Amino acid sequence: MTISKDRILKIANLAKISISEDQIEKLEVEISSILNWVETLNEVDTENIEPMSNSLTNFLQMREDIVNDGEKGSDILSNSPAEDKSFFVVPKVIE
Amino acid sequence: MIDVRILDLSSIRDSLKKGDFTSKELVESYIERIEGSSKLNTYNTTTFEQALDRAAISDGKIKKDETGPLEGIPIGIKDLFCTHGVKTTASSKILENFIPPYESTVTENLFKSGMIMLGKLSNDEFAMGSSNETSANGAVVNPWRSRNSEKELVPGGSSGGSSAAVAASLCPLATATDTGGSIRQPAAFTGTVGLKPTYGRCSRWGIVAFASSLDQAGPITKTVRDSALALQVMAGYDNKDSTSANIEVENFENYMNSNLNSMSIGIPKEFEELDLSPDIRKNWEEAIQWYKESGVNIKSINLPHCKYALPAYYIIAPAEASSNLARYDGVKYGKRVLGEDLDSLYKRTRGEGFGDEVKRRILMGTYVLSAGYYDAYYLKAQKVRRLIHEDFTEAFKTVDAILTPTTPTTAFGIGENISDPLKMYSNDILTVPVNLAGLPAISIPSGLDSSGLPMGIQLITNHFDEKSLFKLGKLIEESRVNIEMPTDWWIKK
Repeated sequence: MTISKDRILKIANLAKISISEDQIEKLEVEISSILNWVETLNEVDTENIEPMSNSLTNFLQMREDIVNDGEKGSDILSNSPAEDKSFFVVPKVIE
Repeated sequence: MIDVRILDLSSIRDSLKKGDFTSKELVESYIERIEGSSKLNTYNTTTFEQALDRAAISDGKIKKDETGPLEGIPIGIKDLFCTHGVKTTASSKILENFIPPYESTVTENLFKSGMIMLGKLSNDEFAMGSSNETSANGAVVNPWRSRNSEKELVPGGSSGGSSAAVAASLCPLATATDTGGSIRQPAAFTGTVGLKPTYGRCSRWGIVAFASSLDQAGPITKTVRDSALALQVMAGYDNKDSTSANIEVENFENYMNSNLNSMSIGIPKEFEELDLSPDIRKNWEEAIQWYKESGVNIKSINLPHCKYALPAYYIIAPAEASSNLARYDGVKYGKRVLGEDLDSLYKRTRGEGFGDEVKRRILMGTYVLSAGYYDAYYLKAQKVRRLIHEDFTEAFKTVDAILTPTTPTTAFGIGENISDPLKMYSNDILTVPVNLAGLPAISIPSGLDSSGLPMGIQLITNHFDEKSLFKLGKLIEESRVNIEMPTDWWIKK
């Protein structure tokens, strides 16, 4: 399995990462070789096997949905690149 | 100044109690040594002033006999653990100015026990790497070099700052994290002890997430006893992490002098077929012999699906990472690179903020989760993960532990493997199956290879059976050749 330049650009757009022209070619080669390698998984018969998303799902803890903190507004904004009053500021989205 | 090279966590604990030296003297000695060791590039950030203030408080407590279990002992923290008010970068440009307004549970537990932070230790960017070369702060240098050679070697990764710092005596204990081998592989490369606890043993709350179903925090120390002492404090139930296990934390130090007579160890046949360096293969055989001689029953076992662990891992881990790292968008915290609109702000921020390895893994992860490819890659890998898990379940019906080398080779040179991702990934071939199954495992220094570099042996046990790792681990320390410390070649005079 090789991956095309177009496909790289498409997933880079999905992942919201800008990549330069020379990076694209390098990624094409690297991702293609990784995809070829992971294809060895097709040797494994996984008929009727349940996918496993976590090694210990049996003790996922439930808890009451209660408020146990608050008043953290200034903490939350303390690392923001741009803010105004109690808001994060981003470039205009709607004209 | 105290010669900190000859100290370890448990001897420091005992000496502070007896009054051989004060916490302040100890902290000053480590600071002096760290300042002379800048060549190794282990610390991203140092917190010496706070450390000295904290040492004065600890000395007061020691006088009044009101101490925590590890009172007044310095520690290095991997720069992946959020520390309140202290810069936490994950060794990435995208978090270069991030100052967490909260504390991770593991560091909170350590500080409550009386430990004093010396600073934040380098790692591969977002813990993605096996050599600590992907850090935005540059490569970390292994304190070990081959005999008669000046070639600089990698300390392993992703916890390479942690392993190098402990090996060079720049802290007696460092926190680390392990997603596919990131505690054990660097420990093996630096002659230190690296413990990856059971998934769920230590809270993940406040640790910068890489692959959440695999990430687990653990200690890097000089000895197995120190590893037990550290886990004791780091572990425990935390309602802030829904995968945290509500299971009793035993007194692990109690298991240090156990009789091994009725125990059994499995040797996986499939691992014997791997491409291992001749010295490492020989060392593995020696270790098997040590256990035989102390009455442990050695059995041959099968883990037939483990050869698929690495490809399964390189689908699952990037998939989870692509989702976890979506939060770095230049809006709420971290680096922001402006663009003409919001979309270009995201793309430029992430394009400039992430390094090459991280970008490649995000793209891989996005690809295997995208429409049309999800079943063929991600779901397939999760099914193989279950088969690997079942291999171990089957094995632990007949043995108490599994013994393998930690790595196929000893430490390699800086720059040697960085341009070949598949070659770099193959470093983790012996460690990755453990993460997929959520098991605990430890890497213990087991000898030196023919060029004088440390080798590590790995013990794996069943879920939440860390005590057997400590029981069995001590024998390696007692049986191996004496591993002297690396010479201080890097010290600035």
